[in-house]
Amino acid sequence: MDASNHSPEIAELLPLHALEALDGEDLRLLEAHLATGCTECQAQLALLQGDVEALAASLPPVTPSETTRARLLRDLPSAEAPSRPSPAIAGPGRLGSEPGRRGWLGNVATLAAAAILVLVCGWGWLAARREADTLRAGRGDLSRRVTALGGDLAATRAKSEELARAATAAQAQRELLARELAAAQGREESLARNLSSEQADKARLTREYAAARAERERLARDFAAAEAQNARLARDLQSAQAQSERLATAMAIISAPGMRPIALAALKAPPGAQGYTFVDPTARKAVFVAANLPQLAPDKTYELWFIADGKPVPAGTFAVDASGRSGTVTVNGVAPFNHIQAWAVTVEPQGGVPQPTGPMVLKG
Amino acid sequence: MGRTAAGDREAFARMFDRHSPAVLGLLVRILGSRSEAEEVLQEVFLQVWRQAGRYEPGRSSPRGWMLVLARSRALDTVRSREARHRREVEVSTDGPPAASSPVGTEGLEERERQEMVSSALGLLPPDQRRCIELAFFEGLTQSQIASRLDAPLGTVKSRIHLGMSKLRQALSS
Repeated sequence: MDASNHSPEIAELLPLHALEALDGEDLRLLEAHLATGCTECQAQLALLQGDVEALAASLPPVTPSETTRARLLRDLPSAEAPSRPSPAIAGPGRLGSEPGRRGWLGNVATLAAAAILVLVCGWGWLAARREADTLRAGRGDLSRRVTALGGDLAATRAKSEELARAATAAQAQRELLARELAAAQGREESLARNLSSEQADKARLTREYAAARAERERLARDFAAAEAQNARLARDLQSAQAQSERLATAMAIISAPGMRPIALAALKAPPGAQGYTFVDPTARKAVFVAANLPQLAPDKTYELWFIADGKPVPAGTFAVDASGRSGTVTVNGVAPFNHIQAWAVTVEPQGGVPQPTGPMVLKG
Repeated sequence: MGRTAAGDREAFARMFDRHSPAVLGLLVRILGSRSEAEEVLQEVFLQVWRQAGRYEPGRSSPRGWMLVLARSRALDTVRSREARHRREVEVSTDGPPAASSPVGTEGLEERERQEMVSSALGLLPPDQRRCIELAFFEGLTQSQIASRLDAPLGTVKSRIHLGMSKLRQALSS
């Protein structure tokens, strides 16, 4: 930096500097500039100093009191300069005894006075010297203190800057931690939402499982019912098929060539009851049907007989429906036709008997 | 000054008689108390006696040099006084006097106040005068003045700048 950076901005600072009113960056700037030995500034400052002094001096003067003046002049310490000629030093001749007037006593007195004078002067000179040393030591002490203060100031400034940097770093750290905290809070909230939605899912899945299980149990019951139904239908089918076969057989007998029908009539009550036997002599089979017969008690049944060679032969039992009709009774193993004298129906105990015991209701 | 540096007490006494009224005037202005100002006056001239050898004729007039010493001592005194008593003495040059402080009951008399108005400062506009007064007589820095007056720093700086220019014109006429 050279003095050529003297500028209007720098020049503006000079009046403030003359008043010792600069601080902060302005002061540092100007002091740095002045250190380059800018002659323009030195000239300006000299003028400004004069202004400031004239300003101070333009104040109304105040005459100090006599007490102040006297005290000041009385308390003035001895001057410092060892080069100062001491007004007390004087040649012995000054104290003059007129030469030759005094005798040896006068000489002794003169010598003694001179000696005392020398002692006093020497002592005064030593005292002055000590005072000078004290003052110099004081000045040296003062300048050392000023230097120490300068060092303290520099150290304090450095400390301040260090603290400012530490504060900035701490602030940055705090902001980083604040951001990390915010991020962690965000993660926590997201997980809480996931958790609650998973809990909702779990509840839903539990309900769906229970519903599925109930569905399965219902289907199992339906299946069992269907199985039972199937079994019934199979049985019904079987019985229907058996029935069909019986009817087919009966039809075959009835429609056989050479078939001989025999009518059976009611013997007593009820009148109107009738029956027919259709015999196939070749196959030695017969089919019997009855009508208008009353239904019997559960422990009774109708039984069919044919009489062959005078002896009754059981030919099967049957029941009648509500309208009095029987189903077809198919008889296998019929005796030869010309050996049969009659056909008959009796009422027998349930299950039939080998020989007729009950009343006869039809005969033919 | 040279003879004073050489230890000439009579020369020193003559210098005191010639310059002490101006110095005391400044001290009274800054300290606001006559008795305190006279005490500081003694300290200033003791310092002049001891440090007369330091005076450089090229840099300023003898009176100027002494006034600078006086100002420094007075501002130091004010600062240590404020630290002890925590009060401020404001000397108003515009209107009625400020409330007198409990310590230093002398304060400024009406006559001295009126005389002050006629000093060179009285020639300045009030804004500029106030800023320069705060800087010179109370030793405030530009930032302290700005905060005392609740004004922007730039305004304070330009007021001082303009005020000092005006002072130059007034004092040189």
